[in-house]
Amino acid sequence: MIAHKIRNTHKKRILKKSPENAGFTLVEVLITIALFAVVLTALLGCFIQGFDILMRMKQMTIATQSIQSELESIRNMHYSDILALDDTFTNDSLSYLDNSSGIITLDDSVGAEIKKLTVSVVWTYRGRQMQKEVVTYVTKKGINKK
Amino acid sequence: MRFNNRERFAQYVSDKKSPLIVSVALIVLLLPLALPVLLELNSKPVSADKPSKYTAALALAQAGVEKAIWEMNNGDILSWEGDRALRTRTLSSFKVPGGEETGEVEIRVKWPHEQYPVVEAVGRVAYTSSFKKGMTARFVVERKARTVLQRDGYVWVSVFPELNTQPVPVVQGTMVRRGQ
Repeated sequence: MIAHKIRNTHKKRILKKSPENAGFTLVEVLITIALFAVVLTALLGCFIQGFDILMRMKQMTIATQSIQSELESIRNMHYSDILALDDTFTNDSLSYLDNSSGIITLDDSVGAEIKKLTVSVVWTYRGRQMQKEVVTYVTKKGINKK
Repeated sequence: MRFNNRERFAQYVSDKKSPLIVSVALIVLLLPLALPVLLELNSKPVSADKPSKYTAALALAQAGVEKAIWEMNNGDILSWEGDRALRTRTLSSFKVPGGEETGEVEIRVKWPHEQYPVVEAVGRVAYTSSFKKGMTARFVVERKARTVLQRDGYVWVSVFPELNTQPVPVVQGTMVRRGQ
């Protein structure tokens, strides 16, 4: 009996010391998992934030293109038609934005036959209100020659 | 735990197969791989924001050209800085009606009193805190009056419906894009 115990103890020592049989302890595995979890969570946060920024920038680009399109259209108008413009506008690009609306503002405080023109797009993204606006001048005998 | 030499460290890793060391080594190896992706994501907003700023800057530059033409037609360009060869003016703190500042416009009019004035306006908008994006709109403006042919009896005569005192500019030029 005693000899059997001594043999078992010796066998355990041999198994424990043998590099081939050395395994991971529970603590080591838990620490590793925790470490990976921390790193992966940080990376995942970066990716989620990055994709959120990408989506916002995509919408900002759509809004800019919409404004640019409207500005080009206005630049080709006769001055009297510009004065008669509606306060709002719409085009195909705006349909890609949630709750979007295009706004045209004409400010005549600069002088006669010159207006400060502001073209804005307002939309919502995840409950937040977003806005992009471009401002310029239009005159009666200016760039559009009309 | 301290290691006196590389062999003992290698022996420790080999014997224990320490997951801590292996995982740290993996992270150190994987992070450089993930870094370009993260940097790319970080730079996307800037690259996407650039066309938006260009549009705003171009609109400001065009506003500068409009302002110069308007001053030559209706205003007082003599009050601008400079002489007969070159008149300049800067519209700083160009604001939208709501009051938010969008940028500034620098206008240069060469030979404003000659037959062919050249109007150049640069619109600048804030891009980053230390750098501004600029767009230049450059137009050659020709002074001439619009004439309309009308029949008067048996002859065609040209009349000047807006009188001849107000020169009408004709845009001939191109836009020059500067910056990155």
